[in-house]
Amino acid sequence: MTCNWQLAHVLWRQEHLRSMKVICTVAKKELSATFKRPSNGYELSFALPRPRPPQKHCGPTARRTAAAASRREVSCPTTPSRCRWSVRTHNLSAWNARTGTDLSGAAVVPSLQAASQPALVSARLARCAPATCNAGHGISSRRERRRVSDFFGYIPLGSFEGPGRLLTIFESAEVSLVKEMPPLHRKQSRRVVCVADTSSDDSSSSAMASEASKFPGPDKFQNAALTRTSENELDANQPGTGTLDSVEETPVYGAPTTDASSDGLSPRTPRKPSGTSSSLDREEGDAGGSELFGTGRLRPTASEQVAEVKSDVSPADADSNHRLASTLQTAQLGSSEAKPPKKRARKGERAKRTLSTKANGDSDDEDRQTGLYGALAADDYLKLFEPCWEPGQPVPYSFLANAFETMAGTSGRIDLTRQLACVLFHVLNRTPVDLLPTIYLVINRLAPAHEGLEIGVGDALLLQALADATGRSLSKLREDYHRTGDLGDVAVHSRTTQRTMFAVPRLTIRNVYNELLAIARASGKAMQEEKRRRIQKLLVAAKNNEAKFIARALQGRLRIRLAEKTVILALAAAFVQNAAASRGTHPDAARVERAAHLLRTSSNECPSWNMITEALLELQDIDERLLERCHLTPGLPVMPMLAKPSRSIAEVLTRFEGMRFTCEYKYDGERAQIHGLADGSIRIYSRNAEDHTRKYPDVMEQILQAVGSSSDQPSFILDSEVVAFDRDAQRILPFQYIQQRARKHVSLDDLKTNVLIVAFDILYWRGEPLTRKPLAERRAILRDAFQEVPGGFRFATRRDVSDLDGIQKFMEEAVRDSCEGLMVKALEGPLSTYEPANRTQHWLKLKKDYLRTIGDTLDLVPIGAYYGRGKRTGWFGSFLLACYNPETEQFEAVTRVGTGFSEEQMAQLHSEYAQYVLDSPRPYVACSESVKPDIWLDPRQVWEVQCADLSISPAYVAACGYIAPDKGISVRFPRLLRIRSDKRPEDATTSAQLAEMYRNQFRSTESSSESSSSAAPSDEEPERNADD
Amino acid sequence: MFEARFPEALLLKKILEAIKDLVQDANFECTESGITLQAMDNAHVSLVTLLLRGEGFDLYRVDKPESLGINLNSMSKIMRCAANNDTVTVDKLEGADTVRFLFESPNADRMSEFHLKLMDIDSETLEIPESMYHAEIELPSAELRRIVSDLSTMGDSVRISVSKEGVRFTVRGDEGSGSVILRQSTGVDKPEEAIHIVMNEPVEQSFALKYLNLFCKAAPLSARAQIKLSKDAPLLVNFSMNNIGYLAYYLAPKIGDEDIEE
Repeated sequence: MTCNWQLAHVLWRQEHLRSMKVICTVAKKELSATFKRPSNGYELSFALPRPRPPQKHCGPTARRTAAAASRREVSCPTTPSRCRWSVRTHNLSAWNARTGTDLSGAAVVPSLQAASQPALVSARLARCAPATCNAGHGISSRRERRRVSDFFGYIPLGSFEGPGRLLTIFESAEVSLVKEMPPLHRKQSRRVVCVADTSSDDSSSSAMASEASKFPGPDKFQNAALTRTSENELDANQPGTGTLDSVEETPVYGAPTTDASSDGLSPRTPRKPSGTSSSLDREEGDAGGSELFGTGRLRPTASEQVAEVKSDVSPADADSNHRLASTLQTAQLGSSEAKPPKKRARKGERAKRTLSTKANGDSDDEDRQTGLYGALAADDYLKLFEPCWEPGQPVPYSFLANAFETMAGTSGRIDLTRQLACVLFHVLNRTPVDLLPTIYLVINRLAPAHEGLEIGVGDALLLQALADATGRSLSKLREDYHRTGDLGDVAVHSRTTQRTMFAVPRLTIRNVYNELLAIARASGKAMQEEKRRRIQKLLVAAKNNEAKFIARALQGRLRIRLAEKTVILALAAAFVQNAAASRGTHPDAARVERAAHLLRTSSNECPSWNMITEALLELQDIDERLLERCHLTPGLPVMPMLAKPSRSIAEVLTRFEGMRFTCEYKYDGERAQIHGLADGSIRIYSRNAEDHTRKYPDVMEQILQAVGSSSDQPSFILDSEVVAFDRDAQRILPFQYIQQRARKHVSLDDLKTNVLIVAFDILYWRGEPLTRKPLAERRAILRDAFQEVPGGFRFATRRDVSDLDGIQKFMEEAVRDSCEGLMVKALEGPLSTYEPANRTQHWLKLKKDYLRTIGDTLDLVPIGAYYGRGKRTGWFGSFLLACYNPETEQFEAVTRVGTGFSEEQMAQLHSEYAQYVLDSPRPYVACSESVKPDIWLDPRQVWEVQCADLSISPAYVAACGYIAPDKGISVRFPRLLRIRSDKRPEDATTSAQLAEMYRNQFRSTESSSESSSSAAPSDEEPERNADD
Repeated sequence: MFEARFPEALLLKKILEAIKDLVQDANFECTESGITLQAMDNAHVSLVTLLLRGEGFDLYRVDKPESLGINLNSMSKIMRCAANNDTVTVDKLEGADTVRFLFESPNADRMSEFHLKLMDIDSETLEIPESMYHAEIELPSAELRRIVSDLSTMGDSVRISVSKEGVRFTVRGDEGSGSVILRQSTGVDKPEEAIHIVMNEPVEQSFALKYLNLFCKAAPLSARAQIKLSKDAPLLVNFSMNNIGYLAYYLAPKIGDEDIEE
């Protein structure tokens, strides 16, 4: 046992165990390995000893030897390789039997066995057929093949290429042996091993095939596979987090990899190379083997890492040394391989690219999209749904409803995107005028967000209309609704009791959309009646499953897991396919990716599907012209750029290393995007793009002053925070003051609180979008164009500090000035652009409470309450909170909060929530039996909650499956901070965010958790890590 | 130019009352032979047909067939401004987008005038095939109204079965059930209370009481009501207004009704 035993023990007790070093025997040889528990089972990864007898340095009692050995290896001049082997399984005994691995000796074993069998995962693995062909592909040399067979007792059967660097050498339903290689270089990656068709999940395999097919293109958009791997590398190389532990914890073999494999990217069965993936077999052959193994290119990286680690290591620390040894051992594998020196130069280039890829957009997204573009470039999926109407005719709604039905039963993102792309393609191909209504029906919206058009139909009205339409009694419908929990299903099953006089004309997409629009626009005193009539009309005309999706659309929950980004991707694919079809060519993955990127950019900057669709239909393709047509426009609010939470100043420094960056106060107010239109009018939009112009008549005045009194007002878009301000004391007031203001129809006379506009960014100035300019430049423009108005308009306090002490000091000042903390932003370079709608790493927020928390507060939604006891008898004692999972459109229970309430607040909440009490939970609320609340509440509000940390919990279902297969994440020691009236329940912290925070708390605290998670909490500053 | 004069406002009021709860907007088709209206309710479950023959009016003139799209609620509001025994003249000039209602008191000392905006309502005229019905019942309209309103207290739908013994109306609800049986009666003393049942074949079908209730709002128009039933065909309830015309309703049956069948 060479792991840090204390650490492992502590972590295990907290169910936090993710990985530990163990000594195991593989084929009777002792090996030092890393043992992990990714979400889908167990994984043991290690470096294969070199053909020469391995150093005898292992064994629980041989630590000193190990240290000595590793020290020797540190100075060993041979070329290290980063190839690594791992055995993965979800079934321990099968594993032991199959590989001769023995985990005995590791105290972990009993606990491991106690862990339940992840049923889901085993089902998935069972589906994969063993690979049985092209023996030895991916094994670079005969020698290596022999080594593998020596070690595992069987001859490597075959392999297939995962996203860039995963090779599954052997796979059965129970155990898989995976060789992980350093990221493939662009050129060599063209050679991808192909395996014959063994009929498996078609989409995933073609995803894989086309994933590979996009490698050849020297496209500036980096392929996702590279992104992913290189991101891992980046993590490993980050000096800040790259203390010894994180090197040992090198995430290269950690969660992201396993995620990918369980996403169906690697160990599935690829299909025969088809036309679209013809590039695959282009260079298939043995000669490529060694290149594929390609270690030479990576040598500099690895050795650099070694050097870095080495310099950090105190030689006396045997423990660390051992970890180091394993890293190095890993690195040494394959050192005897050929290494063309001329390619070394590329390393720098690659690293640079890595950085920028990571910078461009959410890395998680990129992760998941691996293989997606390729899958969308194939054309097989266009037959998923056959069009059932004549070209030019209105598209029948049943086409969409059938597709929705299929999508509701689909869980994979790739499949979902392909299905949607198919739908959009046919609509575009046959009846392009129906494209816009189709898009709106798919995203279940009616108009651009800032128009604030909502359907506004309550359950009661919908049930009444359903009763009218179907002839069933209201009470029966209500009963059904309570039982099934889904009005859509109720609607479908209610269709049969009443005949109609004449067949009603079939619904078309455009008349469904128009009716929904009319329902949303209905106003006046007979509004409810008109809505009811229109709904009835729709429901009467609905056939089969159409009623289901109409009812769900009216309720605002389609429940088909279609996020807008999926729609963008699918639409891009549909246009690429359509353009290719009209030219008679085949699209490739690069085209799709490019189109998706362009479409994403323009939809971020011009969030109006009306404008985008119009432009697209005119252009008939997606290219740069789209950006010219659809760009930032005053009057059209974009979703503001958001920041990622950060846990420590050290982390910030790591993130922006080598860059100029700036720190700004993080004001505690309401985000406001202020638009100045060319006609002189001012609009103020909230962070949800709601029009708040009427809420802030005073802001308007101040802006006019700030922009100067020139006769012609230039057009602009400002990003700012509106804070409550005490003009006498010249002090910023807490957030609550801002919230007290009415939402609309505020007149200047009855204003109680003054507000201060704190501008920190400018996106548009005098007819020119600035989002792609660096922050330094934008800021200069901002300061130039506007002038401060005392007590009304000012620029965010900022300081361009670059060292830890400076930030720390500035942070203290910010807190003293009633701010929440700091925002840290890059001033120049690729990270300094403004990315609307993105929560990117470009901006980091440092909150004052980050010290002992997870770096950020959580926004959670109360879904239930427990009766109070003692002092709180007669009131709610505590509340059950949930996060939001946009994938399933469910609110998932995450914790129970009972602290942070003042007595008066408690009373107020009690009376306020009396109207939201439900008999049974909403169907879109997920909660386990063990934490079932006494009273269910309608998910309405968003509460900002502070917490100590996140833990794995069997009782709470939040983010279930993200970290552990059948356990969720819970929040420890939650405390209510405030009620966020500016957020909708759907804007709550998402499950994915929660999972990410959970992972992050390991990434950056593993080094310190030894001390801080032990019994006595220490008071040391978090920055100490970096000081060391 | 279209012009029609009703001898009494009351008739028009009654007709509107009988239609407006079922249909919100409808086209009055004015042809030389008379005025017809045909419309389905929102749920397309029932259909109402109105015929007013030209002969029934004091004055009736149609130069060119016109289709007057009217919101019945608005028209009903206007009609409320007329006294029951006023004469009503409805006219519309060629190409005008409004229709005029002119109310004159019997002794011509009071005249009022209202203009109503016309609407564009797209509706196709539906052909209802005249078929041989399996059963025909003729009964006092008040009797029909009473049965329907009585049974409505118990449930949502009524099962009408015609057999040799007569016609049976059955209702089953959450609280209980009920039924009414009508037998053939000649009504020796009062022929207007007679019940005639003609049965070619036994029939049994369910209908939503909600609609029947709305149909019965036409009872004031006619002393007698006719019910015609066929297997798997809509029910017909007809109220004939002597020589002027008729108001007829069709109602699609319920199928596999959960409220009645087990």
